[in-house]
Amino acid sequence: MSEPQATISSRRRLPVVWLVPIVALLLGIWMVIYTAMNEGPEIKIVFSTAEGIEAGKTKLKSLSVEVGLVEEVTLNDDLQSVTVLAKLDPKAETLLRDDTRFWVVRPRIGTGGVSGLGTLLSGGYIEVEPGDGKPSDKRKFKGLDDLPLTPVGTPGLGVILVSSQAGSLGAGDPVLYRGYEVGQVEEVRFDPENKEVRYRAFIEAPYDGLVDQATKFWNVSGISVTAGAEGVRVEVGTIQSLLAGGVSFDVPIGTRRLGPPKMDAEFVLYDSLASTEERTYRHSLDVVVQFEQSVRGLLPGAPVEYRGIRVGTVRRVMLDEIRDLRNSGKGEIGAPIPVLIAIDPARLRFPDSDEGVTLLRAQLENDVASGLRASLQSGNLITGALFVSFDYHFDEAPAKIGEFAGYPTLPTLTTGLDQLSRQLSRVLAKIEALPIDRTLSELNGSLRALRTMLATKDFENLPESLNATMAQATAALESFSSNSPLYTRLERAMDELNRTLQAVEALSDTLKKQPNALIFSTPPHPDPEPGGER
Amino acid sequence: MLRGVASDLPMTACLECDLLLPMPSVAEGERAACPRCKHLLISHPKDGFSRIQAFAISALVFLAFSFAFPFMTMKASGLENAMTLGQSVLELYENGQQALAFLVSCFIMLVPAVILVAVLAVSVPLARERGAPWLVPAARLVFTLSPWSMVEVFVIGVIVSLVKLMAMADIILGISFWSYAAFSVCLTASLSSFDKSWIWESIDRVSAR
Amino acid sequence: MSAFPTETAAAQGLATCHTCAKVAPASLHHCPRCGASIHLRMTDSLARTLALVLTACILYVPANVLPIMTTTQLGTDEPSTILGGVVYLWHHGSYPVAAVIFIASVMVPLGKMVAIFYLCWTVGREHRTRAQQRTVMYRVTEFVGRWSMVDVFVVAILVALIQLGGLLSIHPGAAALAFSGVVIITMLSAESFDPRLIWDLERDEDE
Repeated sequence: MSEPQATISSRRRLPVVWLVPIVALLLGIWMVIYTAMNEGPEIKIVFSTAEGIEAGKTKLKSLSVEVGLVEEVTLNDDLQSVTVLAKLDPKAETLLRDDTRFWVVRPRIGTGGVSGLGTLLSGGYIEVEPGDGKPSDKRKFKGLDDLPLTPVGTPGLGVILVSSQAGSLGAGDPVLYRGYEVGQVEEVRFDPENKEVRYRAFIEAPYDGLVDQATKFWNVSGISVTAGAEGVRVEVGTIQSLLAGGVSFDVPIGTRRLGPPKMDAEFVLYDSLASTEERTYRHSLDVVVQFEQSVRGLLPGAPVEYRGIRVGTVRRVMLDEIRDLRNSGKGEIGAPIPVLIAIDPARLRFPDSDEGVTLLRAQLENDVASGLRASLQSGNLITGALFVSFDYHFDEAPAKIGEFAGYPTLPTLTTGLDQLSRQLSRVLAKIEALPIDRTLSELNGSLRALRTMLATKDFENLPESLNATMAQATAALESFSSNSPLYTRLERAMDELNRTLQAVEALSDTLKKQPNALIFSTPPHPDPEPGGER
Repeated sequence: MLRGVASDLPMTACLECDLLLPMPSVAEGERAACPRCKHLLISHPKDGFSRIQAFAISALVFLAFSFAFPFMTMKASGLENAMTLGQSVLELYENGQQALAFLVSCFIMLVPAVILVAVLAVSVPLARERGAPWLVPAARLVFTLSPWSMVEVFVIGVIVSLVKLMAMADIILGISFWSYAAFSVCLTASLSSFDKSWIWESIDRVSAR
Repeated sequence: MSAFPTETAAAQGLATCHTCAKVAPASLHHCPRCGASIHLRMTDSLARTLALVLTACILYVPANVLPIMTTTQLGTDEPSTILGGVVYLWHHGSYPVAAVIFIASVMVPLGKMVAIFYLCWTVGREHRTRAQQRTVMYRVTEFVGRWSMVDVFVVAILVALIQLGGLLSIHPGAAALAFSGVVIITMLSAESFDPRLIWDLERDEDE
């Protein structure tokens, strides 16, 4: 009987060991896919320098939470900037918006304080600050070189301040409202085209409600000292602004509010509080005043006042016109010097318009007829600065508005020191004219006689001599009596002296009203206008 | 082939004690040792070629993957640093120790990789009982380079570093490390089946055809 | 009478190729199978081995004197040598790690060098009974050789891992290269030592 034969299959059986590489491959591929799937977005950020950024090491953080890693840092083709290639966590994709900001956090010392010290040990990182918008597809960003002082999204108002001077104001300086810090200056940029400096300041909520379209901003850096006809004025902001600089703002009193401004609205940055209070008048009446006295010390820009109230500005001394007149032969020798001044109708509560100018002109006609005269007054005895002052002088001869080189002329009066000195000299002349010598010699004689008389032994003759002397003395005294011509002359001299003293009184009045008029001349820039309704 | 006096089997001499003896024939799964010094003469592993190839391929796969991911991460007081396998060489290079970097890269990456490729180059044709011009040089390469592959030493080095730093920092072994460890295991497994005598015998066999 | 014991292949003028274990006449000088050069015994095995071991000994000095790595902590550099590292670890209570480093980086290289010296010295001088042990010693020496590189790898790993900017960073020192040299050269010297020599010269005693 044949035994069943086993069929021998020679099919090669794949050894189990082949599972190993298969598993290895599968594992590896799965890892790669898993990592790739879980990869977040890749972004490119352009910075101006890669300082503090290291490929493979520098992290991206948002609010101290790690959100990504820098993969690569390359120099751009323009050799002026670097591109940082970074990979974010997939969860951080929502951080990417159109206005997302990136900046490198490094240790910084600024006027706002010290920040980023932790990075000294841990190395810098890139802070990611998402913007306000919706998550976007934007993957190429421009990084900031300096950290923004105000995080995006902080409620508040940004304003642009424009100034012609850079001054002492810089990024980080505070924005003050009545001494209280409500914001800060973020950046300073110089616009060479318009030759102006533009500051961007940010005022935090809820203080941003204080800003109105009519708000004025002024520089309160350091100490502002103005010395003017009103006196010395010292303005200081906070201690920080004293040392670092600052901007203050407020709505000028009496200005009507116009409503909140738009974000990044532009405002003029004034140099000081005083400058903000200046009003610019657009209309003025140009008149000429001719002075017979020296105009030395009268500068363009000097104020024109009426009894201490600013009504206008001296434009210039019309030397050209004089020269023209002389050349044309019409000039007189020793003619008065014409000075062109501008009177602003608005300062006199006339409308600031052509109509106001006309009204002013008409008013002046009346005033001149009533005795309004212009005169030069001393603004500053030390520098000799002068200003033009109008006042009524009722005892002057009547005058009318004249004309010179096309401008109306207002009558003038020589007053002030000139007049004072003239009066004084007249008094002195009169005193000189007094027969004091003769009086003295007569007295001398009498005294001699008295002496000789006393010296003689003729004492019996004394009563007689005395009588005689008395008679002589009487005669001498008579010359001083009210009837004598000597007395009248003295009287007249006293009168002159009186009048001179009156003029001095007027001067002392002026001095009382402006105690430093003797020391400080009137300022060349406009005076503050007292507040009140227009 | 040298024939011994007493048998028709080819002769072999023990590499360690030079005892001349006939080459034993070993079946699959068996091994033979020198009677005098116990040095392993020849071994014929089970599923020999398959094992060699499978493990060699796995080893290469694991080695490749071990470059792609972080190897080890250290966290201490808020600071963190991760390293990849390549960085263990690169950092040496960047620190001015270029020669050392080259040596290390040879011992832990290049030499093992070359060995594995050579192993495959030998075992693939042999598994099919076919000859190839590169069999001999590749086999020579494997045996010459073998002592210079220090993969397991590196793995122990990682463990030692881990223990050293455990006290002061949090150490996390990344995927790369496990991949490299697997690579080490597969390399050893592959080479352990790559018996010198048996391989040469097989080369002889296929070359004779 | 040949210098070699009768049972060896060398006695018959046969050399075993180290690369492919083929036995072939030594007069061929190259293995007919794999092309590697063959010799009855490795050429000048003892001389080469000794020379290499001596080189290793010389290199061992800078390997221990120079710092193997420098720890920079907050700006201050602190170099440390192999032994210094061991002492530091011991003081800080990491006894096992200290032991491992000590064994691998100090004892093993020294042991290897000593073993190789001993093996060279005892070739032909010792009793046969010790031959087996010496062979074991040789096998151990050869096996253990590469493990001394642990310390160098640890340095490489620490340098790559501990880079915490200004706070803490580690930089490799010159001793690392010197130590690698020691390991490589001792490995080469073990390779150049022909262990068959252990079994060879004891024949004299028998006869």
